[in-house]
Amino acid sequence: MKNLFAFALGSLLRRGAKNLFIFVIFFLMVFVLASVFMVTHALKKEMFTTLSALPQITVQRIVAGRQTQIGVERAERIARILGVSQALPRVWGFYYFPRAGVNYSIVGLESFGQQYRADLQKAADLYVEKLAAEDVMIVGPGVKKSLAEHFYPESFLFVKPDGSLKKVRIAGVFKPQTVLESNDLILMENSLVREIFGMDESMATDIVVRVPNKEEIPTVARKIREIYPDTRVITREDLRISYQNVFDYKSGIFLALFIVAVFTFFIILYDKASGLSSEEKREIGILKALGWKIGDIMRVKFFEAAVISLTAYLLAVTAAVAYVFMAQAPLLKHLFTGFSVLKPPFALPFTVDVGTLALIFFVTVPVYIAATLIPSWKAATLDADEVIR
Amino acid sequence: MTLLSPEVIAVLMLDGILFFFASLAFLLSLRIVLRWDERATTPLQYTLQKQAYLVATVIAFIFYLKLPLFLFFIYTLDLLSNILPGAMCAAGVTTATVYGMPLFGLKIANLYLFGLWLAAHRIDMGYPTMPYTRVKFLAYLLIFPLFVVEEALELLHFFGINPHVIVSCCGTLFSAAKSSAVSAFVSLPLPVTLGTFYGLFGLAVWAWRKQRPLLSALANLLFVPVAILSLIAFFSTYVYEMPHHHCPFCLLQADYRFVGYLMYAFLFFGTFFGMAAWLAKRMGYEGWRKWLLFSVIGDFLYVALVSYYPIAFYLKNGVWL
Amino acid sequence: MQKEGLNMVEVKGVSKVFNAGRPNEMTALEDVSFAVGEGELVILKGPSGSGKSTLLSLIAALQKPTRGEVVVASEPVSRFSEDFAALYRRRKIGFVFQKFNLIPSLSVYENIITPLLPEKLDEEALKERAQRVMETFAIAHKANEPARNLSGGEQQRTAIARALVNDPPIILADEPTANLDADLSHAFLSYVGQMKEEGKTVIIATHDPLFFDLAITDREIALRNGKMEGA
Ligand SMILES: Nc1ncnc2c1ncn2[C@@H]1O[C@H](COP(=O)(O)OP(=O)(O)OP(=O)(O)O)[C@@H](O)[C@H]1O
Ligand SMILES: [Mg+2]
Repeated sequence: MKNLFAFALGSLLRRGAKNLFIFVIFFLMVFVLASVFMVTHALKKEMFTTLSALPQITVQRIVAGRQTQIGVERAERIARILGVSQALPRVWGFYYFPRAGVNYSIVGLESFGQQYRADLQKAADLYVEKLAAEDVMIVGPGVKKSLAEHFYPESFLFVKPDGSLKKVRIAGVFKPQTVLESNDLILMENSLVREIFGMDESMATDIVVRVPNKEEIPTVARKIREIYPDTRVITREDLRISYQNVFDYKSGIFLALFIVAVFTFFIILYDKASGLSSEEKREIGILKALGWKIGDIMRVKFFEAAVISLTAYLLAVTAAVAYVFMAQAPLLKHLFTGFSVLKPPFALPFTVDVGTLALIFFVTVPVYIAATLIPSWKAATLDADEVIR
Repeated sequence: MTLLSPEVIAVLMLDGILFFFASLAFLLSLRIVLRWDERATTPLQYTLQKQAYLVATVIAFIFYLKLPLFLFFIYTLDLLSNILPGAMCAAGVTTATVYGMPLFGLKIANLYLFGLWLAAHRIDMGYPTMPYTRVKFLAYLLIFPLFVVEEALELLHFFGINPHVIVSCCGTLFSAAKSSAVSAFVSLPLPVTLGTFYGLFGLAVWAWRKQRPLLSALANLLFVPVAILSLIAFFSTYVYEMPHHHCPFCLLQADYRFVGYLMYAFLFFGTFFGMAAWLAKRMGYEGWRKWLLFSVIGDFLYVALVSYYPIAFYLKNGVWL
Repeated sequence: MQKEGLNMVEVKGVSKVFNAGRPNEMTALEDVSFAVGEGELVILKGPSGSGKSTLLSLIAALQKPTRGEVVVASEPVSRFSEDFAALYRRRKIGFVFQKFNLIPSLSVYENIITPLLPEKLDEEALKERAQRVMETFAIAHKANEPARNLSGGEQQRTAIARALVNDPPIILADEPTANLDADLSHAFLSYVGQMKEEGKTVIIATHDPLFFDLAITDREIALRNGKMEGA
């Protein structure tokens, strides 16, 4: 077995040019596939971190099929539902800044009040005095940077709905849970947010609900829907599943396209492997005449295929790791940021899991070996006698 | 909507390839069974001999791909459990359609059948004239329909999963309260369950001591379901250290250091050789004694591994769950 | 003359028909029967196309007879499966081909060890066996030379070394001198003497008169149009 393996290696090297061609193409295919899956996997992970920061239940009011403001008094009613430990009205929205061409998310904080998220709570606690006393905001590091680039190093002028301007000073910088958010998050006091968006005191954007016992979430969600039929009640679980589906759907479609490419390649490969040169045929004839079994020759052929496909796989996966996580996937990343409404730049967190590697393995290596199966058999069952006469 | 996750697509694609090869092998086998004539020196016979190699190679390819693919299949179900409301592990996804459970059973059975076929082939190749050729390929003709059913069930299962329907998690599936065959076993009195389990193991060991391959094959054949059911009913609870957590799948997760893979590997190894040894003896292969030994070793390792958990638990805590 | 003792090779009523039932049907051998005792040297002669190569390949189980049987060391090799035929060739037969059939891109050493590769042998054993035959046939100094760079005589010695590396009891040679000049042909003859001394059974198919009526020959079999002459 060891000897046959050495023979297979030697024979790969002896037919270097032909094998190099196959190796390079196979390498590129695995590389593309691995890069795409690693990027999506990293994005997915980032997404789910974002998701874990979301409230368990979000209640929105829907009018004419669109989300609109919701009365804050509803929060009190919801808080009385059995199993609910807290219901907080949130005031937040998107603010478009034309010069930078970006949408900021402005999120309101209730000074001295409770926040629905740990990191926001920390920021609120830290700046509580300033937020209550004057018109200030706390921004993510990315926001700070982009404002400074457009000559607002200290403060910013928001345009209110009536066209008048509102100057808000930057009181500090805070670091949100995910990189994605650091680029667009702005925190302010609730009343300031209402002023900038022109909202009424009694209104909020939505209501977030906390339910300590996870099992009760679906029941609570149902009750809220019953009490307020004009609301949309979104649970974190719903969101997680729909995100997952979107990801799976997109990478699934990609994989389907990829498989078409793989098959085209393997038809070429099949063709190349079938077309034995007369020199190769003679060699096989000689080996058989010298007492090699059909199985011995097929084993050598299998070793050849396995060595090519496995080394190409390993090298391509390594190269993909370098491309995605060290070089931050130039080109590819932008292709896939369509997954979210978030803007670059952000860093892909390093995640390589066995499952992804197994997936890449299964759609490439066995297919390669399958494509060489019949050609090897054809070669191994050549009539020794006819070839060497 | 069907689930279009990349893992599912990959599994379906490989199924497609396997199906292509299995069908090819089927057609060639059919011809071999009908036209094989050991003594003939016609070109047809010569061609058939060559095609016999192709069939054997293809079946070997199917088997060696099916082994890791089975693990990948479980992994895929585990992943899908993230999308299916209610499911915590592969168990919930398996029961998401009525096809899931039969699919699983058939997958395992087919692994044994393909493996046994390869063992028979190996033995046959050890004879100068390959006397079992016709029987062997006839046997494949019978295995092939099972394989097709497996593939069909797999398609039905994947396309039948409705991500909006809430499924059960392993906790309720395998609990004594539910009325299914599995639950019936779970609710059997413990002495009966464990008695059957250790009894069959004892029988397998005895069959080895007395060198009785037929007995060993029967004991091992029964041992497969009994081992899995007693794992669900009893041993798994000690792995999880939770009296109501009966599940054959969670064992495969990282939380339990993937110990399930080791367990199932031992179980497959042991029971497979237990059956193969009988086949080997029937075919006049001298190696059957060695295979019988492999079988007891595999069975023993499995029994030792699963028994370790309750014993360790008892020694540590002084009580049973 | 027939020696006492075991028959090494028995050819029993063998016929070989190519393309049977087709317009180009060709009977290459017809009802050929003979036996070769252990340690004998047999010369198989006959004009081109008389069926010598076909007969050798039947003995080597590279092909199967249409009728009849080939028995080697009491085993019906003509009924062996492909794998057993291969095993039989590997263990029992050393074949020196008409055109030597070396693999040009492999070195002399690599060519010589090819028959041994499917066996479970370690590097040491391979080297040792190859060294022995390379020295016997004076080719050790070219061990690492690719076969394509060898002269005719060197190719011949490499081919013989390869045929003998597995120490087979039977040597089959098909026109071993067809491409050689007189000196090399004589050299081959002396190697044949050597093999016979080692107790090998040797069958040489040739139409080279050099091999006719030799003192060391035990028997000559003449073929014509696929039939044995005088039969
Ligand atoms: N595979 C084949 N198919 C058809 N005809 C064949 C085949 N092999 C051999 N023959 C025919 O059988 C006859 C005997 O061939 P063989 O090679 O045995 O002759 P030979 O005595 O070795 O001749 P030479 O001295 O030229 O080598 C020839 O007429 C040849 O054409
Ligand atoms: Mg000839």
